[in-house]
Amino acid sequence: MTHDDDLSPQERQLLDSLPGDLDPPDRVRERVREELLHRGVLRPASRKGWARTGPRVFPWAAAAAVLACVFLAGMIAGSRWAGPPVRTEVAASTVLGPKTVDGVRVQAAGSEYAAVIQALAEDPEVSREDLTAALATLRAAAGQMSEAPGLDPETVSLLRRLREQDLYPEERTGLL
Amino acid sequence: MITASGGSDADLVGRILRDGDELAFEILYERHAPAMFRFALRVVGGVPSDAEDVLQEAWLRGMERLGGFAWSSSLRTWFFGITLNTGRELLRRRSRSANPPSELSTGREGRAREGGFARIDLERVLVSLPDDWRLVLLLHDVEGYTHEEIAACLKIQPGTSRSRLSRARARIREILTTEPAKESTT
Repeated sequence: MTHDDDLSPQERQLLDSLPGDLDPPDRVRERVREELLHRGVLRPASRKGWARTGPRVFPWAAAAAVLACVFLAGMIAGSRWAGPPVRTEVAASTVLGPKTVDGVRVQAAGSEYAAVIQALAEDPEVSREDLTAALATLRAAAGQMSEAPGLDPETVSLLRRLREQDLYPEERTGLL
Repeated sequence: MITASGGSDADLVGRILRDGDELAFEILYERHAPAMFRFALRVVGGVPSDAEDVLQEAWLRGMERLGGFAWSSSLRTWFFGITLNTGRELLRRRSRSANPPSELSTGREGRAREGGFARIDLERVLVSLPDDWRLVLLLHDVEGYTHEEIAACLKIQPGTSRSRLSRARARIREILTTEPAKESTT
């Protein structure tokens, strides 16, 4: 700052005492935010609560997809160590359709994941891109798992159906 | 600038450019908009509705140009420059239409008396100055810019900046000396 000042200390003090901040009305922020969203400079936050405290929905949805696949893979692997299915599992498999324990477990895990996807799809603030990415992750994992050796034909068939699902968010239907 | 919540300005700008992060924008806005609004209010001569328009336009322009910001100054200084230019455009439009401001206000109108003059008096005197003088005084005496920086900002010569500052100060002294504070009863 150039101090060719002929300001007196009193005048300097007076100028320095001028307040520096003044909160603008909230409507200005809203107008700016809406215009920036309209112009595509900003993308809408997934949900107000999440937006203010946590990450965006995409990492969350992708993580859900990965977890579902890990869960699914774990159950398939676990069933090999668990020996023959217990009575309730056999009963469930009879009701649900698949004849093998692996198949029942794959269907259950897939349905859990479908429920999560559906909940997201019904949220108007979740973008199509986020959902599509989450579905793509699950389908890719299902495709890889269907190639794994040692799976029974029905499980492979279920995994392939999962991989080949041509689902998009607006369809809002179950995966399996 | 780093705060406990939200990270540095650079982090927030990165999030906006990369992800269009709405939350990052809101943090940046809360951090800088109050200072920009006060500045805008003084630039436009104390008319709150004009200051709101300037603030809105400055943010829109700033956000659109964010990718080109080179960080050769602080983000706030850069935003102040945009605010100043936006405010000057409004002043030019106003002078062409010859509509003087009709709703003079200084916002939070303090009544504390310092050095024989109430702060409100100084705010009112500031907005009563001719636009060219007020901008130079505001930038130099309130915001701390040098004459060279002001000259670059306003596209004038440094000598012009000095002479306008001198006139602005003389006018302020004249007014404050001859018109005692009206809030003296408080």
